[in-house]
Formats: sequence, structure tokens, C-alpha cells
Amino acid sequence: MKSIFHFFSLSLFIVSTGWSNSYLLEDVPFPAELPPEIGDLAFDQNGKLYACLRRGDVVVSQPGKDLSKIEWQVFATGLHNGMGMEVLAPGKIVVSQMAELTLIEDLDGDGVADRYRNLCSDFGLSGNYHETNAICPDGDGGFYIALGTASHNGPTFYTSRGEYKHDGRRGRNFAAVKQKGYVVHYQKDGTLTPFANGFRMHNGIARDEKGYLWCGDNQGDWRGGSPIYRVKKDGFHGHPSSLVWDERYEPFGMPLFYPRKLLDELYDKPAMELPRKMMHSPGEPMVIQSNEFGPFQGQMLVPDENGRRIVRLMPEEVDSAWQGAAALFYENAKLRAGGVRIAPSPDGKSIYYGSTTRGWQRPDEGIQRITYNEQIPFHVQFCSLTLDGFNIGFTEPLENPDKLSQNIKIRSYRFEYGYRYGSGELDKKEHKILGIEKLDDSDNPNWGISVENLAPGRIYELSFSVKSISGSEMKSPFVQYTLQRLRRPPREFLATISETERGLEVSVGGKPFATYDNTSSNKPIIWQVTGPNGQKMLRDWPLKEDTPGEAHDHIHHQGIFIGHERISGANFWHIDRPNSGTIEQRRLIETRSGKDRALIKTLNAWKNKQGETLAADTRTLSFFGDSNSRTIDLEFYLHATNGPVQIDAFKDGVFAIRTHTDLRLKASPKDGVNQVFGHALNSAGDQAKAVWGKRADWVHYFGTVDGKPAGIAFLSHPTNPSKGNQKSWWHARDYGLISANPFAPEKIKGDGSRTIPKGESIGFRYQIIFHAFDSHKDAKIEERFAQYSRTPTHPTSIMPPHPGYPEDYLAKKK
Amino acid sequence: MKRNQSFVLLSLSFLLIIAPWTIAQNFQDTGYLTFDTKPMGTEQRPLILRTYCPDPELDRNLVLGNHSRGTSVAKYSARSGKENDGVQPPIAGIPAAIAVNLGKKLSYVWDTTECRLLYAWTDGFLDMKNYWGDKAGGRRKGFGYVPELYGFLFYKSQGKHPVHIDEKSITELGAPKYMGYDLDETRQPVFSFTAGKHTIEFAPRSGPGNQTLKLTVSTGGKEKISFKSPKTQVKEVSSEPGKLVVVVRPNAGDRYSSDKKTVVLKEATLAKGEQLYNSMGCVACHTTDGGLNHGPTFKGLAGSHREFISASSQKADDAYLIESIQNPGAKTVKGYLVGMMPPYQLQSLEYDSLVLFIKKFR
Repeated sequence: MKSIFHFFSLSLFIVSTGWSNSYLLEDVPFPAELPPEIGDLAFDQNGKLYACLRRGDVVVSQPGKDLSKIEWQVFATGLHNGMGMEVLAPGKIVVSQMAELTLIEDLDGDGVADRYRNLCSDFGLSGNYHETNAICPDGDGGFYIALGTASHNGPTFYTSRGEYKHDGRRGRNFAAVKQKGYVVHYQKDGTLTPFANGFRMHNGIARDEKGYLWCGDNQGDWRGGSPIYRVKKDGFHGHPSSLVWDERYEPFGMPLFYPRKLLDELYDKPAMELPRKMMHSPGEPMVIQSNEFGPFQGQMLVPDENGRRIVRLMPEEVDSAWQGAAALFYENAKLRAGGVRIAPSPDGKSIYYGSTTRGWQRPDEGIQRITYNEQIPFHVQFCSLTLDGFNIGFTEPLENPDKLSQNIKIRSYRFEYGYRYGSGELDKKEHKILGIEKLDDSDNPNWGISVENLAPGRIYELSFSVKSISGSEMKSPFVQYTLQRLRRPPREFLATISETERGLEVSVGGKPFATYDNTSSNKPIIWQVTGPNGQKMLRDWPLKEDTPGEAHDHIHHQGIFIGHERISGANFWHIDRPNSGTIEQRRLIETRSGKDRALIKTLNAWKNKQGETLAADTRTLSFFGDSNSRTIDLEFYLHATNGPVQIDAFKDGVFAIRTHTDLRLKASPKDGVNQVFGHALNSAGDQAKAVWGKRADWVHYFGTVDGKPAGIAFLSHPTNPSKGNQKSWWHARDYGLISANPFAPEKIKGDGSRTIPKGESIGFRYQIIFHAFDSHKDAKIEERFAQYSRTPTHPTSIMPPHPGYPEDYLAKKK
Repeated sequence: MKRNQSFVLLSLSFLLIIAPWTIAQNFQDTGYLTFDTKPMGTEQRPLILRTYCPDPELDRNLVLGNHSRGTSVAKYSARSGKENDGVQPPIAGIPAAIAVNLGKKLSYVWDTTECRLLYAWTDGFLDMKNYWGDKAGGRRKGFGYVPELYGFLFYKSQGKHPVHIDEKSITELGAPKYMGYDLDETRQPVFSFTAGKHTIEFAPRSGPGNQTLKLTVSTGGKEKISFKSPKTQVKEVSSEPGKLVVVVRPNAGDRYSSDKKTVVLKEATLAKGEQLYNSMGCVACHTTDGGLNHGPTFKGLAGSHREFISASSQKADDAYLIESIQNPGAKTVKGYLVGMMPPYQLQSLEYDSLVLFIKKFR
């Protein structure tokens, strides 16, 4: 059944403002009574354009050069706010509508669909208007579905579809039903599995040629700017509401009220965070696969749902994450507001831009075509991070390349990460340009810019007052580079992680170094550690029973471990007491492998004997080495997730290592330890047994292990919290225990007890160096400590303070 | 495709070519949804509409038993990060149903969660203005997005699932799973779903006379199928293993209207202002607590000094506030996008009520 509808061309116009010297903008006409509320756009293999409309129709046309002759035909009807569509073949499409993923087919070939198959409806629907879905193919017959959260600007129903959680209903944008705020994976076998969470309203999702997923997220709560994410498998993308559907977080209560530092630790930061002068809410990113659309092949375009502009993204991989620069690609008052989708034309010369505004602003919707006219637009062609600045190239040669250094200005700022809706630019800085270097001798060379004070966790704006050699001005003459991670200098000794039965095994320079062992003890430990000379650096017992010559004392001294004798009533130090608790890994947040250092970041629950969760920790362990040392850096945060955390004063705690028997300071023939080779020194000059109970920056045990030189230096970062800003208190024993304890009793000159108020966190940093020297002097510990003191923590976001807990402040009011 | 339908449609498209655009068209003419917020199909051109659907007080336990239960929650401010004493209750609605209309003759709602015909009516369909808004404003007209039912409701599903297979109600076979629908030669849907080990096809059609339903249930197997519904007259038309045809007579008689009586205000009140703020979509863009959003916050707005994109400025007095509602394009405050807000044509006392509401946050 066909119902072709013709119409007269109403408003075809050609704009010739500055932007359109290079790009021609045309309206794609629609019948006057057909609301052009674009949910998605896609071409089939025959060049037919499918437009999925939000009221429920899918209409099809074959746009030619002359758009005034366009004819639209209804292909499908009866869809609920479809915001995602893929054309599988002519007459066969998949649409993600509010309630389900639907396969729609024209079986009899008359151009109109007659079969609507429910592929998947295993995600919920609360009745809220905001729970729209977008899709992209998985490359294997399935789809990734971006499931938007609900908004407090609308209600939910008494009768929702799928499981409902009251805690998920709380907050501004919320996830009352299953998997809102997720990207889920629908596989062609019909299964639906979670892929990533932490989204607010990722209206659009795209898969690039490498198979990576990209989406934006709408401005709003927990969004400082308009973020663009490379969707990280299993990652948390910052908006806490969806976490109620991830059972790994179940022990820690209501995600909206997690300690702020915990959320920041969990957050997989966006690749770009766009300010309001570029973007108000991103639609679906589109990868420019064609080289017929200007000199930007491989980059991405993303439209603005609340503006009349398109932003160009230049992502790159830095330190195992994606980030990069963004520039305004196109801004035009004639561009319709509310850009949500862009479909490239089959010939690659044009893009079809689809917009919709119904529901949030004055209607100005429809499809427009933007065609490249082969006049190169003058702008930054690429901008990538270097060790000390940026490399940039321009699309055209500069008029005055010699004056470039005077014509670039660099500033930076940060956005807040928190529950508020949006953020201004905070912590602003101007940056000096330290030098500009021409990187090649071509007519249009690339430039290396070195910048003063480059730091991670900031957005850098490079603005230009330059003209091209042909006299073109640059429109919106700036790029913004979201610098989440610094580029790291290459290192000869690469550190890699591989999974084993016991946990994660780290190698440095191709040789085994350390195993993060999550299965052998009642808490995560590191065991064994192999030093640069190839010897084992830790006592084996009790993790391995039959190693000769070891004393079998202190069964709880297991490798490198973290614990304390009493935290909120439970004993996390000893393993065999009536109140012994456990530390349970809930999530492997991140690993980085194969570069200058390997990194492991985990989330753990501290539970008492009864299984009640008392606190959470997040710990980041970095592993690296050189020809004569291996190093583990620990950054550790204890979070008061489940009430105040009461840490009582005991000598037995907290960050501990039990060394190889040979590094003991004293033999113990009754335990079978007849000869030892260890010496000890701390930064205060105390030696041997006298290092116990002293305050120092570091404690160093050294001597020989298995007859070869070896040592272990334990460094406490000078920023670690302590009473009266003192150095770390050390529980370091002559039998080979070295432990930094920030909660030792005051009567033995420790820091005493401490309470972490509910909703707060406390952080500590330590470094443990395993080296191949038998003398303190050769190991250069003072030098290493000075260097360690200067290394910053991984960046912490600016966050609004914890708002408090409703169960406390509402009760107080009553 | 049947020849006679093709002929009809060709005639329609001929009409479209010559018809001037000024005449508003609707689905019956075009075959697609238009700006018409009360779309209707015909028997030749059924209208299938997926939308949130009204709930005409169906039994939540027996009829909507496969749905979960919503709860009231504390209101929350993204400005302070705090919950307060205010409560947001759920509203009535069916999230994942399919509404079908054959003109005045028949409308029905079939639900993909219960896999069940929920209700049927004549002389109307769904008024979508709460969901779609009007053409010029583009905003919904209520806090929820549930269209309004209008017409004469003659059938309301009651009790357990009426379709029984081998004497067991589908309710007793566990949650059914919706498979999809095919359009038959009349372009009406045949729904299919599974329940237990059975695959069931269900075709609701208009029955003989007025306000009756002819329902066809088939499994493709040899099961005994029956249709049992309390307080409902059901006449078996044909029954064979794996297939049942029944005619269902009215079991309800409720008239619904979506017309709103315009209440002429006698005075401007804060309460009316607040109600307009929540119901006309203001709340979507303007916070009252200083929080950022698409539009300026109301906190501290009244009486403040406003600076505009046009480089002019003025004090936000009553006249300015009213102008900003009536003709928002006249002045745009710096930092905000031009043309975001639609103009609102209201009664004079409604503007005044909104001004009172805005002033509350001075």
C-alpha cells in the first residue's frame, strides 16, 4: 500500500554567510502538516533516506540534487517516540522506541511495513517522558542501546513496566526502572547485558571504525558542561542514579549520597567537556568517514540539541583513555534549532542534519542538508597533546606564520562535578607559551606549542587571531582541549598486566614483578613480589607453606596488605579473631597496561563478621620499574559510605608489608631462622630495631636476599594526614614487618583514633621501592623520596560539598 | 494489497496534490500523523498509535498484575542536593500499550506487558495534547504525558486474563512475553505473544452492530481455548482446537471527554501561578532556587536588573515579566539562547498570577 505525498517547495534557501563559503545549507522540504520531529535519520543501500519521526511514523524519500522535487512515503507507523533507528536493508529497519527495540519489515515488498517484531523489552519503562532510547549496531548483528534516565519534570506511573526501585526514583534525573542511565548490549541471540552506566541522557550513540562507542550527554545535574564520552566497557560515566541497578554497589547505600570523593574516584571522565559557548546538549556524534566533506576525515561531528550549531571533535588516545580537542564546525542562524542526529549522504559529500525541539523549546524542526563545496574552511585541522603542550595544524597555510606565537592565547579552567545543574568556568588560569616550533618544512607546516603549567583535569582553550594565506578569517577562532590525562614520557621498562587465577599479575620489562591477589586472603593483598635481581621479596608463609627457613609467626602478615585492628568495631588486621572482618573487592574500576606503568584501581567493601558493610575503599596501585628497582605507588581512600567510620587507636595497622626472611634484622633460631641479612634505617637517622615507633618520611630495609643485594624502602607521602602535621608513625619490626600506621595510640606517640564523618573520605599515599642494592647510599632513597614528594595525586574534581543525608536533616527539622 | 484500497488511496493522493496547504489535514487524509492532536483512523486506514495510554481505573492487581508498583518520592532540589518534605506521587497510566483506532466505530488499547486487551471504546480516540502540545508552542499541557481518552468506553478488562488455555487463565501461566504484531489484509494488527509454552495470536476486531468486539484467539496447536471474563457477556462464534472466535458485549458504559471548560479567573492568585508554572512547562527550564537551566532562574528575578543580548538593560518589573511570557523573543537575557521559549497567550489574570508566583522568589 503506497501513499506518496507530494508538495510544493516551500522554503528552499541558500545561505551565504561566512560558514557557508565552504558548506551549502539547504532545507529538506516536508509536507506542511507532517511534524518534522526527527528521532533519527539513516540511508539504505539504495540511497533512500529514512526519517524516524517522534510521533510514530517512519517516512522515506530519495533525495536528489534538487530537493524541491522530494517525495516522502510512509514506511512504518505506530512507534512511541523512536529516537534510534538502523536500516538493515531496504524495507527492513530496527527502531528503539520507548518500550522496546523493534524490528520492522516490509514482507510483501510494497514499500510499507507489515511486520513489527519485539526484539527486546527487557529494560523497564516508568511512564516518565524522558526515558528515550538510541541505538547503534554492535558490528555483529546486535545493537548497543543508550537508555536515558527519567526527569523530575515529569511523573512516573502507579504501574511501571519492569522492576521498580524506590531509591532509583529519587533525585533530579532518576532511574526508577531497570537500566535507565545505562548503555546495554542487545546481542543477536536475544540476550541483553549491561555495558556501561552513569549516563544522564545520552541522546544518541555511535560506533567508530575501531569499534569504540561514543555518546554525548545532555547538560544537567552531575554535568558541569556538555560531556562527550568514549563509552568505557563496564565504566561509570558520572551520573549516580543508574548505580542502583548495579549490584556491585549495593553495600554502599544510596548512590546519590555517596561521599563525593568516592563518586569522583569511580567516575570515568569524559573525553571532552564542552562549555556552553560551544554546546548546550549534545545529540548523536557522527564519525566523518568520507574525505569528500572537508579535511576532517576520521573526526566526529556532534549537533547541539539546544542550539543552531555543530561541533567538530578531534579525539585521541592518551594514557589508555580518550580525550581531545573540539571546535565549532558550523554555526548558522538558518540552521534549525535542536540538532539531534546527523546522517552522512551515500556519496560522502553531504550530511543530513535532523532536529527536534518539541517538548523543550519553540518548534523549529526538520531536516537540512549541508554540502561541502570544496572550498577549504579555514580552521584548526587537528590539535593533539604532547609532553609539554600541543601540536596543531591548520587547514590552510597562515598569512603570517612568523607571528604565530603572538597570535595564540592559551587559558584553562575546570568545571565542577556535582549534583548541581551545570557549572561555570572555575579555577581559571592564563598560560604562557614557552615556545613554538615548526614541525615540518611543507607549505602548511604543523606547529608544536609548548605551554607553561600543563596539568590534568583541566580544559585548555587555544584561541587564535590569524588569517589564512588566502585572507580567510577563522570563524569561532578557538579550540578547546579537554586534558584529562597528561601524555607520559616513554620508559624503557614497560609494565603489563595479565589475569591469572589468583588475580592480576604485573610484569615489568617482561619479567614478573607483583601479583595483586584477590583470592588467597580475607582481603586483597599483593603477593608475591619479585625484585629487580629476580629474588622473591616477601615472606611466602602462610600463602605458601613449604618454603624453607621461614618463621611461621603472625599468620595475618600476608604479603603487602591493608588493614587495622579496629574499625567501627571490626578487626581488619588479624584474620582469626571473633570480630575479624573482611575486605571484599566489589569492582575492578580500571586497569592500564602495556605502557610506562601498569595501573590497577579497585573498589572494596569493608565488612564485619556479620556481613554488614562499614566503609568503602578505592585504591589505585601503579607499578613501574627500571634496571635496578621496581616500585609500587599506592593512592588509597577510605570512604564513610555507611555511617561514620570510627578508627580506634591500635598499634596494629595499617599499610603493611612482611619482607623476605633474609631482610629481617634479627634471627630467630627457635623459628628456624638462623641467619639474617637485613639492616634498617629511617629518614630520622634511627637504625635497626630503633625504627619502631618513630616518625619518619621513610623506612628502609636493605641487605641481601638469596645472597644477592636487595632492599625495600617504604615511603609515606608528606601530604598524608596526621595529627599536628607530623611525619608518618612506623610500626616496623625486626622480624620483617614494615607498616605505616596513621592511627597508632598516642601513648606510643602515634596519631591516635580518628572518626571519618558519614559522607566524608580520607586519603593516604605510599610508595614501596624494591631495589637491587645492599647499601642505603647506593639505593638513593633520599633522592627518590624528594622526587616522590613532588608527584601530584591523580586529579580530584572540584565538587560541591556533601548535601547531607535526608534521614538526618529531615529528622532534625521535625 | 486489495485493488479497491489502492484506488481509494490513489484518489487521496490526487486530492493531496491539488489541496491547498492551508486546510489542516489529519491522519485520515494523509496516512501519517499530523499536527492534529486528536488523530483518528478509519476502517480502511486503521490508526495504530504507540503512546503512554490512559488508565480508566483498571484493577491494578488483577488486570495490571505484571506491572511493578510506583511509589511517592520526596521532592529533590538539584540546587541544594537535598530532598525536602514535598512529595511527588505517581500518576495513572499504562506505559507500554498500543492504541488502535478505526474511526468512530472502534478504539481499543492492547497492552504489551499484560498481553491483553485492556479496554475498548467508540466515538473517539485519544486527545494527544497533553503529550504533543500544540503546533505553535510545542509543549505538553500537563505535568504527565498521558493523553486523554474521549468517547464512550464500552469494554473494560476485568479479573484474571480472560484467555484460558486448557482451562488455565494466561494469568496462571507466568508473565506473558510480547512478540510483536503483523498487519493483516485490513491493515489491522494481529498481536502475538507467548505464555508458558504456548504461542498465542490475538486479533481484536469490531463486532456486529455497535459497541461489540469480535476477538479471535489462536495458538496454531490443539489446545482448548476459552474466553472467560466476570460480568461480561461473551458469545462463542466458533471454537475448535487451537482457535476460538467470540463476540464480547459491553461490560462498561462510561462517557469520557477531553474538553476543558475554560474557567474565567476572578482574581490573580499565587496558587494559580504555581499551578500554571507546573502545568505549562515553565518548570522544565526555570528553576526557583537559583539552579542553572535552559532559562533564567526565578530566584531573585523580580525587581532585578536584567542585561540583554541586545546590549540594552532594564529592571524586571511586572510589565517586563508579562512581556517575557507573552512575547519572550522581545528581549533575551545575556547568557541564554534566543528563541528557546515559546510565546504564551493567557488570560490577563493568569499573567498576573504567574507574576505573583515569580515574585515569591524575589
